[in-house]
Amino acid sequence: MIPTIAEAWPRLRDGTLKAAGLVDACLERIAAHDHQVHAHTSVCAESARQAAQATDAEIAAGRWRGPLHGIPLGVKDIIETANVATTGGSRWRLGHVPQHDAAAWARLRAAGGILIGKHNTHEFALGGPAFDLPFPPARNPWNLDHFTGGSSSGAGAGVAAGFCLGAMGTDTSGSIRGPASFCGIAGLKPTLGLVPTDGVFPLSPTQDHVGPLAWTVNDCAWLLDGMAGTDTARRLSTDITGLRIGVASRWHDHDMMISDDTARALHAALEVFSRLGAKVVAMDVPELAEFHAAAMPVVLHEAYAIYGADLRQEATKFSALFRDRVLLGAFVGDADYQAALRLRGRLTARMREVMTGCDVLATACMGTAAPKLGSVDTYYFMDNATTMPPPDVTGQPALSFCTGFDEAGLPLSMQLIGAHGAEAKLLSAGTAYEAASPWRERRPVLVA
Amino acid sequence: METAPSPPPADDTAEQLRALGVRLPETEQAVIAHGRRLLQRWLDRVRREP
Repeated sequence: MIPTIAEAWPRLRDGTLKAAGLVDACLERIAAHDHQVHAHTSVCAESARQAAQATDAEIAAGRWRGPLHGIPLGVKDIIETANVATTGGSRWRLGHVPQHDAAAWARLRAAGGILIGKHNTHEFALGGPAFDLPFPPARNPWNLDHFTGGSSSGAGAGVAAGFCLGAMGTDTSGSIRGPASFCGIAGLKPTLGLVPTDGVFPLSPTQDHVGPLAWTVNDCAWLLDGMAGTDTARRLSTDITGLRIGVASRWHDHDMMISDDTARALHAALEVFSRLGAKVVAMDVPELAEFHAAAMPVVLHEAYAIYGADLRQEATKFSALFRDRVLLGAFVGDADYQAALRLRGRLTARMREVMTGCDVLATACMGTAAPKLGSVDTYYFMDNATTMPPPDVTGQPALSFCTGFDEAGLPLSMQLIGAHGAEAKLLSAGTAYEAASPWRERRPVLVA
Repeated sequence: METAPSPPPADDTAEQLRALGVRLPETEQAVIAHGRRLLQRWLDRVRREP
């Protein structure tokens, strides 16, 4: 059994667990199962083993760097890693080997994190799940016929499968929280700007976020601290007595379709929060479609500004999903883009007001359990507004975590949204919930 | 204030893509034209913003 980060680090520090053994355990699982899961675009077996040996020697010599020292991690393949290919999941960047680490990965590496592999991604964080890319799409470890969510698809699958203890993903319209939801793990989109995006292939630079995915909410806190230089994990408390949990009922009861299973799990989770002493209150929030109207023109306009030249040069070198989505950006004019930015500003101000009435805001994350992999439509994100873009639009932190399973054994989830910079409250609430519920005891079973 | 929705855009997507220099099969141009119609709903909405 692969331990959590919180379980591993005290044992790595006192020498009862060796980084070499931990890395080998992850690599053995990858060797046994990644041909089914496709979580990686590349696996760094040799360098990971070397790093693990160096880590064990360093710790034995009394130079323990902190809780991430010796922890095997995966990095989404749009995040640059020095001397390790970073492809963006695209033919356009096959063979691209950066000289430098992305800023956030440099921090994790300096904290002692060990790169186990590069995680599969939708092409440049938008084009997927696609079958016409150099890498087959990642599959959901809970049922290999099902979608992982995206675009941090390999991160969700890799953490759930026990290929690593945590991962770095990116989130522009839900790309951390979606895979975390479908894969039954935890994912945190931090406050805009808290984690640097330098060295990350951009999609929508004013809305791109970098953040962690891990088996538990608590592990997300350790990873956040490594990426952001914050001190959140040590300040978490599972005593959430008096915490004001606002419920954005309008979003999940009216504006967005969610399954009966997801609704039941959400309401059961809110009861757990009440039993833990939190004060659950209804909150009035802006219509979900307003956030969607703000997000869509901005993301498409900015993505087309970045990738338009390559699309005009050789569109068919991209996956059909990527080009069919990004080319819509050619039809978003400057006036519409500016209007969307103004709407974003108004919504951000409105949500700052909302957050004066609660500490965290609760709603659904994905509206259902994971669908079958082949059933995802090109423009699924255009048809209906969902609850994931709002915190990307406003820059608020947002956390998704597992709230149970449906009858088919697929994970269900919910989302908590915090005030800007209030990651500690979000992560405390999530950690308290996980400690009071049984869902972290169940792992996907992969058969070789 | 509510504003009248825009009329459905004339389907000049293929022409526009050609003008941009983007070369794609007709079937795919039709897919993008469909996406453009879906996008229009959100653009109509954002155009209400003062």
